[in-house]
Amino acid sequence: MPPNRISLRCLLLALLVIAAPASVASSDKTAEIMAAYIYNFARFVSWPAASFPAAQTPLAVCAASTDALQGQLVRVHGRDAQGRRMVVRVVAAGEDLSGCHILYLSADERAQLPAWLAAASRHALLTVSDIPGFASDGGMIGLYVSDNRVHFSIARPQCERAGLQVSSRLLALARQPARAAAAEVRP
Amino acid sequence: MSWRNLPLHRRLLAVLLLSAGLALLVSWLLFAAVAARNLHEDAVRQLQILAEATAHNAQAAVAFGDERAAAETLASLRADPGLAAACITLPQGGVFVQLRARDDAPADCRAPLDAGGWLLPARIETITPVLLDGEQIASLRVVTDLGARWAELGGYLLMMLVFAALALLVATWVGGRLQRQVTQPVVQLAATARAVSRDGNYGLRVLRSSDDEVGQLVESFNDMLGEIEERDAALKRYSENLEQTVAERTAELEHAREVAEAASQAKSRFLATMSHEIRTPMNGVLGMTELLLATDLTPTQRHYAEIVGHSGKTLLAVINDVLDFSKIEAGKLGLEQIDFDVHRVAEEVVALMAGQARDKQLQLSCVVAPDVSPWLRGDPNRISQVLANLVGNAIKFTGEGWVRVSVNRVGGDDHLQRVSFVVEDSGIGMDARMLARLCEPFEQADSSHARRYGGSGLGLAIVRQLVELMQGRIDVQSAPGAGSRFAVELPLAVGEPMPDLSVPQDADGSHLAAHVLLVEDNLVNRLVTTAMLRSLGCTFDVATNGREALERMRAAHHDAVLMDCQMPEMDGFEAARCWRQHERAAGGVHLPIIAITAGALQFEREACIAAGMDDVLSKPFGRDALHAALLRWLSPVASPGEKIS
Repeated sequence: MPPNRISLRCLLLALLVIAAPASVASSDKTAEIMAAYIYNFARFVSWPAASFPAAQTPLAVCAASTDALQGQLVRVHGRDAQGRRMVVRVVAAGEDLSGCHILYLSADERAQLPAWLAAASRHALLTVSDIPGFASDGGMIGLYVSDNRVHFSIARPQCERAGLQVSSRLLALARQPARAAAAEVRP
Repeated sequence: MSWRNLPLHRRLLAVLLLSAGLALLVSWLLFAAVAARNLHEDAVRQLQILAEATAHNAQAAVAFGDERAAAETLASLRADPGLAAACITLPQGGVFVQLRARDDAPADCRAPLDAGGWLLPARIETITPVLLDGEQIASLRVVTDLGARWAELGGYLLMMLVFAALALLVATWVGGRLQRQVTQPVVQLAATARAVSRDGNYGLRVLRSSDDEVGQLVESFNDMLGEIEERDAALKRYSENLEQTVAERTAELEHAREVAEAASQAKSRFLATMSHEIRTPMNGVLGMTELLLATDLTPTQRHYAEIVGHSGKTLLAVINDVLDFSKIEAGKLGLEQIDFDVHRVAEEVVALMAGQARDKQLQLSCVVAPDVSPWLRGDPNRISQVLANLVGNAIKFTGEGWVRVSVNRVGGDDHLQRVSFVVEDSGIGMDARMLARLCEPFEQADSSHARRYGGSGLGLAIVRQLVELMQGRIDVQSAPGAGSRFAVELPLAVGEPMPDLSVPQDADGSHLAAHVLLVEDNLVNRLVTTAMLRSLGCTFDVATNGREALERMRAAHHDAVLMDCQMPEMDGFEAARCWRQHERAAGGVHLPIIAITAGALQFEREACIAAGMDDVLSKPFGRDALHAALLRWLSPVASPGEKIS
């Protein structure tokens, strides 16, 4: 199902609404899919009520990234998830993460990972990253590419520790990446 | 056999079976319909629930485009054993994932549903949106096959049907047992009614077994039978009694009839005897008087002798009237049917009565209308008698004036004429009361008349009866002092002219010059007859009984025989029979035999003719009658038996 044949809007929609199961041909494509995944994660994860002080409080996706995905994430901005408007914002290391609900860490942030995680742990933040081994290294949802497809793994204890509830349907889709494969995929 | 002719118990059973079967069938059908609907609804609902759950479960897989996970989710639909196919299609129309659980499911999941099946859908489908955050991200279409469910329901219903049939069977069996209670009395009633009508045994009864309508019917039937039996018995008794009564009555009647016949015969015999016994002496009286008057007498003697003769004739007339009346009463009077000259009958009657009329100085006339056929057929003697009686009656009751006889035709055609014989007088007449009693036997207009005018009172009674015998009618018009008018109307056939066979009156009234044998046992009569014969110029032999007569007849030739009938030793009948036998044997000339009998009754005359005699001369007879009879048989033109009918 090649989405590039259809109009841009439809393509975007398709990307946002469904996970394009198509093979990952390029990094752009991968970023695109990952952006869609982040959007979908927002729909399957419940935050504590305190995370949303007001009914109109938007669901904020904070991206600590400069990579391709960051550009793709822009498209998520303005969408609705769980009845809330989604906003995308770029954060830098050391920045206050309050008001964020999802924290995306690009692979570039691998070095500062513990700092990010420590900062994130102070908030009910869903941490998502395509850093290999992210889920097992204290992160919550790790994205990886395997068999030309984007997969994710979820570290449920971290999620629970942060007071986040991950839908069982989402959990059912998560899998543990094979070590070798994970290494392989690493860009 | 049509439904109306079926026996009652079968019909009841059929009704039972039909109604119960119908009820069961209807309830079964209703149940089946409800069950089918419920099943369908249940199936749809279940499928919807399942589909919704699946759609919900497929949210993430669809959202993340995880076909494997989606296929696994879809696989959970296999919990529905009837599942045929399921698929998740994307809004753009593409199939995200599909499941074909059955081989007969369409290859393309998006193909429209072929419900299939007859009456009931074999397949159902449900299309459920896969929603995420209220946004439809895909459609889940599930098609499930109801075949197994239908089959299960069918089996279930079939089992129910079998149970229903079993229940019906049991109900019928029980109903059959129970309905016998209802029908048995009716069947028994019908059987008894058949037996009753077949054997006529009204003693049969039907046992009453219930108190319902049938019981009442049975009771009524029994009552009816009882009544019929009673009536039957009564009828039988009555019939037996009737037979007995009839037999008794018949016997009584038979006896009465015998008695009556015996009495009638005795009466006839008595009349014959009386007639004979009276006529015989009267013959002497009248004959001798006649002879006496032929002698030289002084005027006084002649007057006395004439009175004797007149009295004798009157007495004879009375006796004849009585005899006639008796004969008519006994129905023994026969009527002749011969052709006669009506002018002559009227004239003879007038001539006969002329003497009496002259004696009373009455004018007696006779007119016969020209349109009356001169020859008519009937009994001239009886007509003469009727006329004579009426004329005699008229003369008797007319002091002065006239008596008129007229004969008129009053109707009829060329073959049958109605002829009216009218006798009018200028006499004393009668009032209405007298008229009413007229013609009753032994009645005269007034009992005082009997003393004044004499007569037996039988004349008009005889006239009436003779007229009735001749199918005529009599009409009387009269008023006191204005005379009377008697009209006798008779139907008479038109007759043929007859040759005049009557013997012309002998001009000199004398000598016949014949040799006659007189057979007579009575001395007086012998004397009278011989005296008459002598005065007629005949010679004669005399015999006193039949045997003697036969001897004389053989011994000498006679021109004629005057044969008395009642005689000792051999009577006249026997003698005549013997002589006729002798004659046939000898082949001689026919000898005229004239019977002389005191019996004036018809059967006596017939007996004479039957015995072979030629003529009958009733005693008492006068010289003229004897003369006429002899003249008739001595005449060469006469042939035996011709004058007798």
